[in-house]
Amino acid sequence: MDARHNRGTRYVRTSFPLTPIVICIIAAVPGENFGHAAQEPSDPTETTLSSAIATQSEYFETHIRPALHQHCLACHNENKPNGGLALDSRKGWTKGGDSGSAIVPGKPDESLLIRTIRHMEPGLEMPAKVPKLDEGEIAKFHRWIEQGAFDPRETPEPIRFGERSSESEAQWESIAAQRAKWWCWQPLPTLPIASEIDVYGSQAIDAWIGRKLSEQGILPSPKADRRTLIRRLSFQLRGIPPSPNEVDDFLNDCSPDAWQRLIDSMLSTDEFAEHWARHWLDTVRYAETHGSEDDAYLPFAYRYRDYIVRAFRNDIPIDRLILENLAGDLVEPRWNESDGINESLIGLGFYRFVEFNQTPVDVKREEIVVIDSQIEAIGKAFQGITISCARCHDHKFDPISDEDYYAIYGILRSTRTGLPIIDRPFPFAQTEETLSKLQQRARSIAAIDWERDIASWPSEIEQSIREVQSHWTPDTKWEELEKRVSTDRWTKAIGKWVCNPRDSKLAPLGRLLIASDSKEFKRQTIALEQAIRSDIAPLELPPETTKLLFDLTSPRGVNNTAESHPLDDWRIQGFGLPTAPLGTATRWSILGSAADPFSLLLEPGYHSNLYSDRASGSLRSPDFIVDGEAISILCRGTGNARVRLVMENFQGDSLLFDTVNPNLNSNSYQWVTMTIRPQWRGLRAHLEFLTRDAKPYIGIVKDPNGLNASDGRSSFGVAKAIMHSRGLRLQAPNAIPLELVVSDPRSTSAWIESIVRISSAAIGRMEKEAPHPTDASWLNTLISNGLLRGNLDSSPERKQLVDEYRVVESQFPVPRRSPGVYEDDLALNQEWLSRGDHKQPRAPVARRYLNVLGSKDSDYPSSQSGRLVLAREIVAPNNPLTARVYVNRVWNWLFGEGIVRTVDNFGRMGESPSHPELLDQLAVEFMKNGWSNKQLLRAILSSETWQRSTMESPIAHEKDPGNRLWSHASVRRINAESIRDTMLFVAGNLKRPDSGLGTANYYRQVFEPNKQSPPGPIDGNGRRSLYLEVRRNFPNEFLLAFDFPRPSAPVGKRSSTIVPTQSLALMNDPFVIHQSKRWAERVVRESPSDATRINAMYQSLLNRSPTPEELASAEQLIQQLSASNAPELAWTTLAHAMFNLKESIFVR
Amino acid sequence: MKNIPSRREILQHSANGFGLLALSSILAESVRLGRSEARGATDGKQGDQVPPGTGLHHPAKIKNAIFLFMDGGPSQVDTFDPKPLLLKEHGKPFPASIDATQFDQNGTSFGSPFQFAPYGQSGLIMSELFPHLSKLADDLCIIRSMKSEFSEHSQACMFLHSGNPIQGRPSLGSWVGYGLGTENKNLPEYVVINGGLLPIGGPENFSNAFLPAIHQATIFDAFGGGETVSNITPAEPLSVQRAMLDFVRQHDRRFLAESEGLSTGEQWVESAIKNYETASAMQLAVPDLVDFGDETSETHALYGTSSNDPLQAQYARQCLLARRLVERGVRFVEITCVKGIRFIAPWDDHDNIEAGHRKNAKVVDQPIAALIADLKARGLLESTLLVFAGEFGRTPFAQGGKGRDHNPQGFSIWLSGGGIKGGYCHGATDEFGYRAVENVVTMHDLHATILHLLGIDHERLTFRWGGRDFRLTDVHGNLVRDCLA
Repeated sequence: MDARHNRGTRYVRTSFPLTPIVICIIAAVPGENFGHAAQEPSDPTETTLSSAIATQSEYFETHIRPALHQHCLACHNENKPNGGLALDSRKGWTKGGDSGSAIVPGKPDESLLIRTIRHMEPGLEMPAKVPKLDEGEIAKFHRWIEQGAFDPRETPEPIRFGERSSESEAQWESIAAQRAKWWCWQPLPTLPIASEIDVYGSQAIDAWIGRKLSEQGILPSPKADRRTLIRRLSFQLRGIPPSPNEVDDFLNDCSPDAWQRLIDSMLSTDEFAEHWARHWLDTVRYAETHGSEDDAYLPFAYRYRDYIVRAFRNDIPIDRLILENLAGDLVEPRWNESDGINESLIGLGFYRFVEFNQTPVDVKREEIVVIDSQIEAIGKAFQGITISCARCHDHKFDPISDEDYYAIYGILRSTRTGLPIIDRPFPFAQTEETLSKLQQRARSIAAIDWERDIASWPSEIEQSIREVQSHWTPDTKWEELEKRVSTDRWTKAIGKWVCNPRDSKLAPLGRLLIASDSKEFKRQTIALEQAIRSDIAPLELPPETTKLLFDLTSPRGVNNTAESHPLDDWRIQGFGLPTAPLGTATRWSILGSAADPFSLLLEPGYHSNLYSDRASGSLRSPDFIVDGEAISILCRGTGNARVRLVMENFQGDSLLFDTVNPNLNSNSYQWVTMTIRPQWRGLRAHLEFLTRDAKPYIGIVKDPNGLNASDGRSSFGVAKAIMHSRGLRLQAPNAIPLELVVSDPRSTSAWIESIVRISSAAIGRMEKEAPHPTDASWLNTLISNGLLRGNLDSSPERKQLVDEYRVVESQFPVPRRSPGVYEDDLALNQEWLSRGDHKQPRAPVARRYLNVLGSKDSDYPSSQSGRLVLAREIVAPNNPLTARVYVNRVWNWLFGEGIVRTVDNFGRMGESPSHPELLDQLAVEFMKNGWSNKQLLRAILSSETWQRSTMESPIAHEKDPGNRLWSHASVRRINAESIRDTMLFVAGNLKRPDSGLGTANYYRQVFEPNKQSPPGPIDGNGRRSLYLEVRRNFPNEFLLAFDFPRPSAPVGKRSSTIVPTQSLALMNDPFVIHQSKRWAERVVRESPSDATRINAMYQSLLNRSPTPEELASAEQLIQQLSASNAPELAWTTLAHAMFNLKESIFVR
Repeated sequence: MKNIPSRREILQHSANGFGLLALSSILAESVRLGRSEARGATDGKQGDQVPPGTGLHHPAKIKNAIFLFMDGGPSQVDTFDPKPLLLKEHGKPFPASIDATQFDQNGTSFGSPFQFAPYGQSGLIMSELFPHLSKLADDLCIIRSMKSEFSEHSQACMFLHSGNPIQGRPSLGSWVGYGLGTENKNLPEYVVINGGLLPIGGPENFSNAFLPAIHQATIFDAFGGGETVSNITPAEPLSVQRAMLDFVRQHDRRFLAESEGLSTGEQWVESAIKNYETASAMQLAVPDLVDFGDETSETHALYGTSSNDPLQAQYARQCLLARRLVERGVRFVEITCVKGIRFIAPWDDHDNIEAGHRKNAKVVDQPIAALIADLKARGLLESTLLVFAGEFGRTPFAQGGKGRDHNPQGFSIWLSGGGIKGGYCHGATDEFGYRAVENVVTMHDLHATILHLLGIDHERLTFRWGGRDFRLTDVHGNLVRDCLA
């Protein structure tokens, strides 16, 4: 390199003036210039003076401009001149920075730029914070300056920060191409990696490790003894120590495959699956709440935890697991035969482990927070790269552009938050037919029943009118009237109507029935007509203030075209929901727990409970832009069903958002009005109707046990929605048919006759299934006023019918759900956001994955989010990252360090692998073995390398102090969970087997009683730490002290700190004391003498016998304490002391 | 790559207790990362000259900081930012454009119900709400042009505490501890004196996030009736504990001796052993710290620890405890508000600014004034910074009739103590007190300035995590030089 330098200077000494011609040439053929980028500089001895200018510019374009872009300009440009220095134009570096001029043309050794990149200026090592440039690149800068630092850039050049230009695009391509040379982007080789190492599995590990050690002249440490090995293995695989029996068996097993069998037996345990599931949960930032002010609860998050445990137990291929995490709803289901659930769907919980503010003023910003967390997790967890660094600008070190970022963003934006049902689909079709028939029978029975009822109405009504007339005055309250009149149904109905004019729209009808003069007749008739017509009024409002969003009562549907199916652009998720609105038909809903199963006839519109209110799911409207001041929806619901306005995927429902997330608990249609805040105008939104259990977001839940108590009964119905200006008063439809208004309003008998006639006709039409639009609501009105009977005891036929109905309905499962997402066949490209600012959207970016990995937007279907394609690209065998990242994680979990030490970052800011060939070999073999985690573990654990002792040889200490060459094993502190679980294990309190809802953490200080769940039991009910709740705002203090990771981002490698808080926890934490006591009790119960007890304690906690010295000192402690204290205290204290031994938490 | 610190070196650091102990783990982490500059304070120009762990980027003006968190967001126009025009416009429609507010119940212009007057030699103008504090006007540096980004409590609190609106970044106090450590091996470097109300978002506001666990705040609950610090109370009688720890010590020594090799991991075992000495010392230091028996009655009277107002008396004890912590070398102390005025965020007066702010100011006025005076009398004020701030301010227009909504666009805070220009007022809001318009100070600027006073360059205090160098101020932050003495 130096030689080439010297030769170069002989020929090219002076700088050459810039000529416009050169610029043109360069500008015209940028591709050609950049095409040379990868080549070594041409030999300068071949350069002639006549081509010197072209050579100079070519040299700049080939070597210097790309290097400036790659390493310098992000921090040294006109807009952001760090240290006052801009390198994006000749003028910039001529002027220099705070530390003086950067470049002295012709004098590289005096140029600060060279001194800084050579790390000769303390504190100014450049490029900042990344490894030093390689010598070749430094030499190029050197040569460029030596030759006069030719620089054609008169004005600051665009650097793709902010706006785009074709020039900056081309530059980015060139930079990205340079950066894509970093090791992690290179394709995986095929086996064997090297001809001289053509062994596989554990042998390959030892061969590759051995090769480097011998190169350094380091002898590896010998194998650890068997007692050490089984203890190390048990903690690494199961997170608890081996039992004394296991140790004995292994020590006595002289067969050659004893070690293999030990590995296999541990790999087959639940404890293994649990311990390794937690590794996975670290990397996907698993948490059960959403943080922020409310720390809102994520329902059924624990199902994801249990799913990962099962996956590790059953050795589900890792590529499959990743596929399920990213697109479990779009791949062939993986059925869990014993539980009857689709495991794949549970993987989608991955998307839901996000923190977001539940009451933001700016919801689009919150969508960015959520999706950014998802992108960060996809990048770090599965790819070992930091994609989310490219949100505001192209990545500063890796070949990832901000366009890549928004291309992925679009995929996630097109994905809807949900709570998918994980059960096997219930064979609903047959049931549907049976239920339909039963509903038909119900109509006949009711019709006969009611016709009989109606026959006696005229006399009843007349009698009731007289009664009310004689007791009522305009200021009579119903409570008073009720005492004076009989309990006849019509008396009660009319009495209520006339006493409560505000509450009942039937007041005019009541008033006119009891009217005694023609003036009152006329007045109330007008009022009645007005009331009837007001129902229709909203849709007759001027279009400039009111816009119909949809009308599901119209056969023409929302698109207003006769051809389209009314729900064409709608999405139904769930179980047992009808596929279409009811149209104008009337149907019975035989209600669940109500004493009046016949109390509801479904009115035109869409109803989730067309067949049963145990149907569970959601109905989602097409997207629209919120541009009104309010949205009103004519809908109904039972059992805390909900309608919610989802804006830009925002999920929260508290404080600012309660008005757009109302619960529905009215069985008859009501207008529900949502007030639109000014800051929401212009947002993309949809309306979503949900039965109670289908809500993907449930706010503050202090005790999640209640979630499972549901009987599954909840329903919603929806007719139409309008967007309108504020101040519009919408009347709940009063459900009085207009025909009721008689031609001669002055005669009471005419009204009675009309009521009877209209009702009878409605019943007749209902029975024949040919109702008029208002029939159902009128009959519902009569039922709800007690004028027609909806109850069971009214006839034996009814009871029998309902019983039959219940039998069929009882086959419906109460669906189990898991947090996840839905695919909505809706593809939205996200606009590229200038500098990451959502208030500066630019052109949409077509959905795809990373350009550097060859992803093409043309592979992403326009009718789907593209998640499936994304997932497949990530697990594709030719993806250079996925397998490498996973095997490296496993290596890290087993050794305490990865082959790439920065396990979550393989990019330029991370480290290169210490043993690249080994990493590649493990990755390729891993894929060849079907991405089997257990196979990979067997290979590593069988290697000599893993089984080495922790003793370090002096030469290794000298030559490789960081043990990067793996000459010996490292002493490691067991993780937080293992510390806690081991105490439960040896004390005999560990709950086995385990799964399900997490147990609340034990707290001594309750900081926020309104939001914090009540403290759980001190011992967590004996559950492994895995099964304790992970609440973002209130983490478990004990586990946190021992570096349990926070769920804010993927953590592939936990930090391992040693702080006094840990000593205090082991000395004084109530949990430790509690377990010490339990352990002491157990030991005293199970062993007869001091010596046997002490021995048992050593065996179970430390997997060895005490030395005579230790035995003596333990006995002495017991005697000393027994002298002045109760014997229990002595043993408890010894147990407590044992838990404080370093040997119990540090494993060799 | 730098060599791993020798075992003896580590032991020396460990023996030095709480703060320096962290160093060993940091260095280890750096070495594991293969980078010696992971800790900003030891990188750069002075990297090799400055003793690691005590490294300052420049001479420090102060050694300690006390953060008086005014939970909920005091109203600037009712405290430190007089707006006569607003008073004149009172009851009329607010004349300027209004950003989205949280509750969207924006009323008319709302002049302050409180009287403003100049105080001290400097003539610093303050409202009547702080009769004690105003006597120390010449010690205060008011910043009237603070600006935050978030108008909801949780994000604003997290932003104030960690420079980021959501969880996952270390808090200011953690960064300070990471940069400087503590001077008292028996006490933590970062203490939150919990008055009963944590900032909205909970204890994660004080999180060390990815910084080593030692830098997490220790929450003192001196007044809630429980343990002052979690796990500080010996589980056994001290004599029993001593016997137990003797047994443990003997055993641990054997464990270490047995495996005496050169393995790096053994160093951690030894550090863990040393931690027990620190922990035992802490068990004694904390009760001594919270026992105010050695304070004079004059001191008690100054703070008002026996005030008839129980809330004020409690806040007075919190302030007194803060002084005792600072005296003992604790780097960063935050005092949170007392519970009683409200169940959350007491300054969050949406309904009635006049009544609410009177109550809030009364609770804190005398104790805080006493804290300043007391520190001054003991010569500690010049090495201590006090920061009085909420997560945002309040709207100059009414919410409903008599309340005010959140306003991050412009609000007032004050600084006092070492390196600070006293009797000075920095920046300005518009004439209605709505938006900061002159010498705007962002949260990052405030953080940068606090770090600067402690001898830390905010751009160089970094920690590499997950492939990125993180700093408290992210890519932002400018020193507010005008406020510096």
